[in-house]
Amino acid sequence: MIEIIVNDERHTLDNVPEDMPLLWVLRDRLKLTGTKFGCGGGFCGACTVHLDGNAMRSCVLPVAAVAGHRITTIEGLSKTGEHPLQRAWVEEDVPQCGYCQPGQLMSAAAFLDGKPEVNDETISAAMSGNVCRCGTYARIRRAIKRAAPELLSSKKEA
Amino acid sequence: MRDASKPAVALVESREVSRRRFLKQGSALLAAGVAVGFRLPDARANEASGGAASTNATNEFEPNAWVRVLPDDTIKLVVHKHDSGTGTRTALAAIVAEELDVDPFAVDVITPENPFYAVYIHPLWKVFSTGGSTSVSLEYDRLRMAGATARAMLVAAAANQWNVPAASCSTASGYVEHAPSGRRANYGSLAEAAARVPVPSAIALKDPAQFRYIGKLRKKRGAAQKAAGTFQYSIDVDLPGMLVAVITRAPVIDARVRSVDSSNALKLPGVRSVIEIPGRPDVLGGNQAGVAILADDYWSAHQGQAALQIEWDDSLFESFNSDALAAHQAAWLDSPAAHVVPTIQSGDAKAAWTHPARVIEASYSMPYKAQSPMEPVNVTAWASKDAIAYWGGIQVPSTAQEAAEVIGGFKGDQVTVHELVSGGSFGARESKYWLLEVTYLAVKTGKPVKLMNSRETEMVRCFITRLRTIARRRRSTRTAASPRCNCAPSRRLRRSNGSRVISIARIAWTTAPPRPSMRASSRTAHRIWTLAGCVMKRASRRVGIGRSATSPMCSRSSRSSMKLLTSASETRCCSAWLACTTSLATRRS
Repeated sequence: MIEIIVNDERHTLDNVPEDMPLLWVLRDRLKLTGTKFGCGGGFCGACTVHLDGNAMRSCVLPVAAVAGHRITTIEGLSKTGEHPLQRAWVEEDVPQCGYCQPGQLMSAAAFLDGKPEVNDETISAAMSGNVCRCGTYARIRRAIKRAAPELLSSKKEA
Repeated sequence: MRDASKPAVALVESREVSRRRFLKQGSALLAAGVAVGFRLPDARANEASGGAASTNATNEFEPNAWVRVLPDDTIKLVVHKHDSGTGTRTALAAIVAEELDVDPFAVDVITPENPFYAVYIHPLWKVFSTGGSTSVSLEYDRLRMAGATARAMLVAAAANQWNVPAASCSTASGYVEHAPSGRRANYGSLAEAAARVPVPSAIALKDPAQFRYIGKLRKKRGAAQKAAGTFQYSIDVDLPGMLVAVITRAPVIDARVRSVDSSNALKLPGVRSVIEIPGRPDVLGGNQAGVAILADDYWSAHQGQAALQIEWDDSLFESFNSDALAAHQAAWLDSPAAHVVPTIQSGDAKAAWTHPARVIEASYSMPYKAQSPMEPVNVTAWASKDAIAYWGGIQVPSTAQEAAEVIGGFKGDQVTVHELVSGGSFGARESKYWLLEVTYLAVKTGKPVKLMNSRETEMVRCFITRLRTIARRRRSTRTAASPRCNCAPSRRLRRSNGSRVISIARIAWTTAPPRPSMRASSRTAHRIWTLAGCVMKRASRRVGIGRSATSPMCSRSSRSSMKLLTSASETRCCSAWLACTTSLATRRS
């Protein structure tokens, strides 16, 4: 029996092998399908979630290793899809096929959480592990810059 | 999946609905000049377009295959092309919406209730298919006509009701208006009456200067759901009692399974069964032999796959080699037997050739490569005795129809396709093997089966964009720029006096005599290349050449890059190509 906390909700998992990657627990057991399967090897970033606030590739993260930790998925990034990054994603019309975008958003959110300098270099460095086959990188960059002021200022207040 | 909770019922309903739908519209479309020259590929399409008129029990206004106006003012626009991130669901709906005069973001966009309705046949390829960047260019006129026809009938209905001339009415954002009297009615309130209006014989299209959406939309549908993680992709399908299947496919083309030891795999938690899938070399584009693990979830199936012990037979293709094929192709380019395929042409090509001001020639080659869409290929199927339904990013519905017939003996009207958006295709979803495989598993188990490729199987053992070598001559007086890809110009330049760009391609999958020194396996491979070459050549003559979504050079020189536009033909001959490619990929791995 393994206990995990996903989007502030506690889940007790029976009959889950300890080595089952978190991705498949999320998708196949908890039916949280917003987190995507891209490569299964931690190379593409489609499966990115937050583990205690840090961006992690859930496809290579054994569920036993995250027991008791706080996991946030795209479904938990905001209650209504109104996270400043999600709004910016819509305003900049970022998604094309959209399959990689939950992972992109989770990486971007973790990046801005760290109160970084936001410029092309730091964005590229933070987002380099997330692949987009449609090539939406330029719009992703614009959307991050659009959302950054709001997120960074709210951080300072907090 | 909400729409998938009762698939068997939905399947029957949708057949009933589709039987009812379009029966009277078949003739309406012809009268409106919308549907011209479509070959009916099967009995179902025949029935759908050729039957007698029937009653529309729902009081919907369905003037054609793309527009639905409900009495509650819900407007649904049908997009019959697969959206793999290409935006067809935005673009095609916007074309209809423009002429119908509704806001494309204020309407529902749906997939066809019956994707096998004859007017959805691809006008060039004569099958139900999406691809080759043709959706907007080839559907544009028909979709405008569909929207304009519906609009004209709604206007006529309003004019009748108000007893005013139709010409004195106008439309705006889902309303018919009569300015002189200040009357106004939404489309929904006119639906029932519009359905009884005779289809106009002449339709006036909008003046492009008045377009509000075509060429002006800057947003795509679904962005908010995609950003929220709630957008439903093919891979998110979840049916009650569904099994997840992964397949270990033949490591060398044509290799058959000699033996399978599944005892360890079957001991693993979640693993339900192991099913051998026979290869179908008899079907063009057919699948290779494989062994499927069916489990409760992907991870269990994946673990089971690793525990399988499979022994494969030898295959004649063991010595197949991509370098040798590339060398052949390069040699064929210089062969007098090479087939010259004209590509994008404008102006008088023949005359321009006699005194060319300048000729630029170059050779291009592209290696075998996996298309690697972000979402690995997957599809769900559920078969009963007399029906089968598919859920997935099915870019070529005809392949599902064929798979259902070849594997399960299902007739056209027993096949339902629930078309979902996919996370990219790049050619991967034009293939057929996965539909044959999932049909086999669905028929064998009687349960819903979701077949999933892993990234690694897509890289080494699947339908892979073929190796090709292309020599391209391009003439222009305007530019002497050398090609921007890493290929060396291979021919002399000649001058051309033409003012337009003319491209001629020599494509190296043409026939060439086999060399006597070839080993047996090479000869087999050669026969296959040759066969494939012939098929492709014939196909190319028929359908012409367009640009490739999968070619790396395309992004840079879109119109001049080439790919045979042969989705259908390609599917038909891709067992041969698949043979070459898979073998190759395996050798590389």
